Amino acid sequence: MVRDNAYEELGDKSLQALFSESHQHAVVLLLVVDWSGASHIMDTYMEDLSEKYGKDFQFYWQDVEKFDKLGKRLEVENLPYTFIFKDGEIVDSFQGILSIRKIETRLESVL
Amino acid sequence: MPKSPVFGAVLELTQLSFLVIDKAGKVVHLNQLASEELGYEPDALQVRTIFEVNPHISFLDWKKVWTSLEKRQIITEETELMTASSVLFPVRVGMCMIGKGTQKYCLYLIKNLLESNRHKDLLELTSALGKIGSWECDLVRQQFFLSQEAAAILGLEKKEKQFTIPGFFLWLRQYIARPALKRLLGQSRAATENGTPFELEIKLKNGPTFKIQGVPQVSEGITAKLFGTIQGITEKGEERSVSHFILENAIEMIAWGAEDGRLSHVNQALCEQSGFSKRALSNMKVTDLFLNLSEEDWQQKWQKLVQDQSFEMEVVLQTKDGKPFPVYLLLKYLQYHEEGYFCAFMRSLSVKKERQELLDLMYHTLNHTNDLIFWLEEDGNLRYVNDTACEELNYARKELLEMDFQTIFPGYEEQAFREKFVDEKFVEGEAVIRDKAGRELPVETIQTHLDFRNKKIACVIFRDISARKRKEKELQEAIRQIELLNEKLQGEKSYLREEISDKFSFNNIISQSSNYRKVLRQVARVASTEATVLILGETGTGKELLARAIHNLSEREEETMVKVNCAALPKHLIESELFGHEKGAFTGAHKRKIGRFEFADGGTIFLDEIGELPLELQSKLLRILQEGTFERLGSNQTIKVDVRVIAATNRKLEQLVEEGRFRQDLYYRLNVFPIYNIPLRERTEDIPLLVQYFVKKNCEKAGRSLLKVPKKAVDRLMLYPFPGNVRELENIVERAVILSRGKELNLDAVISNLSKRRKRVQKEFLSFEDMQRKHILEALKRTNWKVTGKLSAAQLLKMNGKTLASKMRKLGIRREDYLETFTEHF
Repeated sequence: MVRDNAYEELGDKSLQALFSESHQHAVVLLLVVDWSGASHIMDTYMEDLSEKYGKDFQFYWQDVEKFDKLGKRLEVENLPYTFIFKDGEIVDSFQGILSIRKIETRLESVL
Repeated sequence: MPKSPVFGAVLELTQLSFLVIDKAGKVVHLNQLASEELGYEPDALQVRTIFEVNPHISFLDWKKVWTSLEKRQIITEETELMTASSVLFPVRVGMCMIGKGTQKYCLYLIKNLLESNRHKDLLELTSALGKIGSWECDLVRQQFFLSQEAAAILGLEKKEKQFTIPGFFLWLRQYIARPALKRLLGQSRAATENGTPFELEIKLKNGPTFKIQGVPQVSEGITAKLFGTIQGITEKGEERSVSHFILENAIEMIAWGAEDGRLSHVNQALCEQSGFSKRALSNMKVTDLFLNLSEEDWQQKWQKLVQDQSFEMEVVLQTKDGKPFPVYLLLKYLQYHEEGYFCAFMRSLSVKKERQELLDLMYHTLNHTNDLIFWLEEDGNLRYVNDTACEELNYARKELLEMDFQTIFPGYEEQAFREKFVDEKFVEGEAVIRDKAGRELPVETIQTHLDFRNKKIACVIFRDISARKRKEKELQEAIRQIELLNEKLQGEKSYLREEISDKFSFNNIISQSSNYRKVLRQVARVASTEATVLILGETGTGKELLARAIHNLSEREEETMVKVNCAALPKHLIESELFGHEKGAFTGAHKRKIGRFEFADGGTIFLDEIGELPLELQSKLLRILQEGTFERLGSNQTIKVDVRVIAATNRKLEQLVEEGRFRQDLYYRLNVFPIYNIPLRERTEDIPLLVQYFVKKNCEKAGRSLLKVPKKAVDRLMLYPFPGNVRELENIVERAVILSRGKELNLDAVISNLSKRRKRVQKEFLSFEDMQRKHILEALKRTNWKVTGKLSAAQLLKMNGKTLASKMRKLGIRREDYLETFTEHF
């Protein structure tokens, strides 16, 4: 069953909290910036994917211009950037936009 | 005289002549042989002395002999004795003392040399006349003896005739070649080891040929001596030798013999095939050699042979191992020295059978080959046709042999055929032949002219090449496909170049406008589907950017997106550009051209400015959207493609439909998923961002440091309506970057131009209809598109609601045409 709020803003949640959470279920984190069209497209995809994979994944987004700490910690230079956490570690990440089919494949491989 | 009977018996047994003589020389005894040789009666001689028998000895000589004999010496000598009839004859005598005391006598042994010498003389004469020498190889003493005649035959200068065995072969090496010497040594060794005689013919270096025969002398199982003859071969003898050799080594089995059927000579082939040795065969008769041939049969055959001189038959040879061996027999009658002989030549019937089999195989091959074979005579008559020809052409052989060759081979011309007979030996080409039903078969022709038993024959071979022709056609088609693909590849290169440029990258989508975000959501969601997309929007809003985003986020991202600007292409070329053409399809079509739909097969085609597509091509586009098929210009061949269509226009297609300039059915097909790309004036919040972005981009392009953008300038830009949208903004910024000096972006000059232009635009006089449209739209905007009722546009315009709705329809005002409102509810 898809969790409520399967896709939400990360807010001030720390990276450590994400690693911990990934022990319970896989976590997808999308780092975006508000003025980037590519970020909006990825945001749309994550919203759609959270409905399909909300049972197995928790999806978060974070605007790195508002919360730049996380972006720095993860050494992100280009946006959007997506990270997938599982069992306390980053198991996959990719920069920019992928088609929804390709993102699904990446998620499936984590399951 | 000793009286011992034993001694007397022994002497008699010696088979030698002897006398017994006393000291005085008186003959006291002679045996029977001596009496016969000397011609004396035994009694008569006993009264005579040795001096009478041997006139060459005196009494004094005899005294000396006696003295020597007394000293136990044995004396031998050659001398002459005289017979009773006073004839001297040569002898070898041996003398020794017998008896003792006063009873001492001389035993006088006589060996008549007259017979021995005669034999020797005869032998020497025979040797000389017959050119035969002798040799002896004493293996015990390791000595080799060569007779004088033998040395002469060999033409040896060396006078020595006695050698050690190794010395002889070393010496011989200089006269005969090494292989011959090796053969001689081999045969000698075999004779020594096996006790078998040998016979060899050896040619001397630069000299005549001689025959050497050798026989071993075996004693108690050991070969002690080899001896034999050496015979020179005369020219005639050599001829005979050659004939003998040929006869011996003939492949055919040969035997001959006399009337009684006894075989007097057989050759090696017969020995080998029958398994019998020569000696065994020479003791056999023809009735023993052939199965089921009785004496009576042979007599009848002999009579027939004498009468007919020769005849042939098949018989079965009796082999040593009992296996019957069928042979073909040719008997010839020969007469030699008044005697009649038969000569039998036999050949294995299996050879004949093999030949027959070979012949059968040749015919079988001829008849079962895939080729159609005809033999024609010079007059054009068919002499032979193979089974394949009958089967392929569906004629009976008789029919074919009787018909005119031209019936099946329409290209056949008798005159030309005859000329070729004379001029050429081998002619090849391609033609068509016709079967009984009139069906044509493409063939390769090979015509060979042969001289056969003083006749000219043409062998015409037709090889079915329909499969080859089909393959050639396939190959041509494959080559055509390759050319097509090559053309496609060349065409695709330009599209790929466009694709890899960052002009249409996602990174170029800059916006924080919530309205534009809705547009992007539509793009993201429609991308993964196969739906046809219609992008609407004013010029410069970035429709191509959205089209490429849709393509890149779709399943077709690996394939090409082909762009066509329908407004940019000349009207007469647009069909050819979209659908391609064949060579010669119209004037100037020098070669085939691949259309853009073919290039886009598997990918996406972006039809920009679709509203400008000529009406006559709209049906063709509709067919592609419905069926995915079309034909190239000048071709009947239907091509099927899998292309996703994204169309874009800044025109109101509905209005064009109403005006009859755009097909309604095409409009519905394109309008499956419309995306309204909003103008820049409706996302003014993006202007500062875009200005920053374009400044950075153009500064990098110009290679200068980043210019600071004054807020005042941006504020002024935000008041400008940007009819040219983002493209116009980009151009403005680019111009300003070029014109700016110092560290700040100087927009003054550019903005003052814009103000003038805006005023000019404002001063433009609107038509009544446009003025009405503008006024109604303003009212609708203010009332949030509420047309009738309270706080509606109708109320604002002080009009009846139905009248307003009718007016809106007439002026083509539709709520969905105005994205700002529409997208809020999407």
